[in-house]
Amino acid sequence: MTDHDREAGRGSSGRSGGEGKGGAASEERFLARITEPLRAPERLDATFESRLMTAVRTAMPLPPTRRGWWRQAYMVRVTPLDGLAVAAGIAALVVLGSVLTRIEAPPATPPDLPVQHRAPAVAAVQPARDTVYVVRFVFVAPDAKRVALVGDFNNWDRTTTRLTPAGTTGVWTATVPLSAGRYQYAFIVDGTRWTADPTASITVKDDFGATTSLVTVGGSGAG
Amino acid sequence: MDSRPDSVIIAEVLAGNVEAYALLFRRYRDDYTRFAVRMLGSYADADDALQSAFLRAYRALAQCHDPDKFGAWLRQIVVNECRTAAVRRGRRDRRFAVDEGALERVLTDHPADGAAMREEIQHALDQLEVEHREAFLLKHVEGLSYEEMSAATGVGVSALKMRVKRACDRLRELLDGVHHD
Repeated sequence: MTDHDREAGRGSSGRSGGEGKGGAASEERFLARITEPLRAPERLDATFESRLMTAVRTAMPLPPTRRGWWRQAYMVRVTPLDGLAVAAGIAALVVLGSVLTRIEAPPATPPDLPVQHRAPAVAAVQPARDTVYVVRFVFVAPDAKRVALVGDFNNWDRTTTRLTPAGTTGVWTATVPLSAGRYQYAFIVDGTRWTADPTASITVKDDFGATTSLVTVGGSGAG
Repeated sequence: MDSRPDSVIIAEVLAGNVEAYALLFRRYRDDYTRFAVRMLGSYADADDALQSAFLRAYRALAQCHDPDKFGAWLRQIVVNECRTAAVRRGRRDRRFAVDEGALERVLTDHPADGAAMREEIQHALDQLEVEHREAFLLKHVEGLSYEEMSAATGVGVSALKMRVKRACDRLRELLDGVHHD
């Protein structure tokens, strides 16, 4: 029995205030009797490990809480009609503005506007009840070998949405059709490095302190 | 048996070898299974809580800033999951009528049977408040120091000592009639 055990034993025996050594010894005997059966080992269901590992294989690891050498990221949303042209233009601006430096939000975007007007930039289609918005994500990571986009729209599955090189060195893009709503997302570089969008106005932290970006698609709060 | 330190295996998992996580799981499953089963009083609830805890730990593995203390870090997650599950189960169970005679029957039906003894003690444990049960188990069943308990629960040492004391007092009230000294 440890000192702490004895301490707890004395505390428990103190109900009458004066039981002394006899009370403490009685308490220790009582504790010994009830804790011994409780220390017996317990076994999990035989399928526990296989079920766990199945879940692990499809789970999305969260990023470290300390940022390392994050690549700067940039995301822009456009409509299907003018998406390619707008994205290409913005991507070009991003690349030009980020040579050997960090990338800032688009210069035309005032910093105090709601999220839908800050990075990621938005080009919303005409609102309609069943509108599907095409959101184009652009990520700048010159040293990356591969980049994935994860979010609640793809169940945080890193294999669902891969960004592809945009033709300009270090620029990766992906286009995702999304219905109106609010989404969390992040980028994963080379399968392990997680980064939220540093230009997003709204970030969200989960239970583990992981930072993800928030984007609203469609509606008055689109952003 | 893989004897590599936790930190090495964690690095392997983070490098992409997801299967290596099973090694970490096997190292800690026994201790944490016992805690979960005692804490929740139900294998099914313990299974759910541990699945959730080990999966959460995997997802957050990159945030384990001291991989050499992975076990303590994992314990925090397990304790939190079990506490949450215990509170949830408490709410669920309150929807059913309380059988005041259940404990008495358990205490007297099989007094000489070891399994029955464990069952009756477990039944008494279930009567404790969640935080008292948690403190008692960590202290007297898992054998943690108060400092380790504080790290696992985020509760101060003084408060933990009080919880353990109250848990012991309550258990004695519930079990004294059977477990005579």
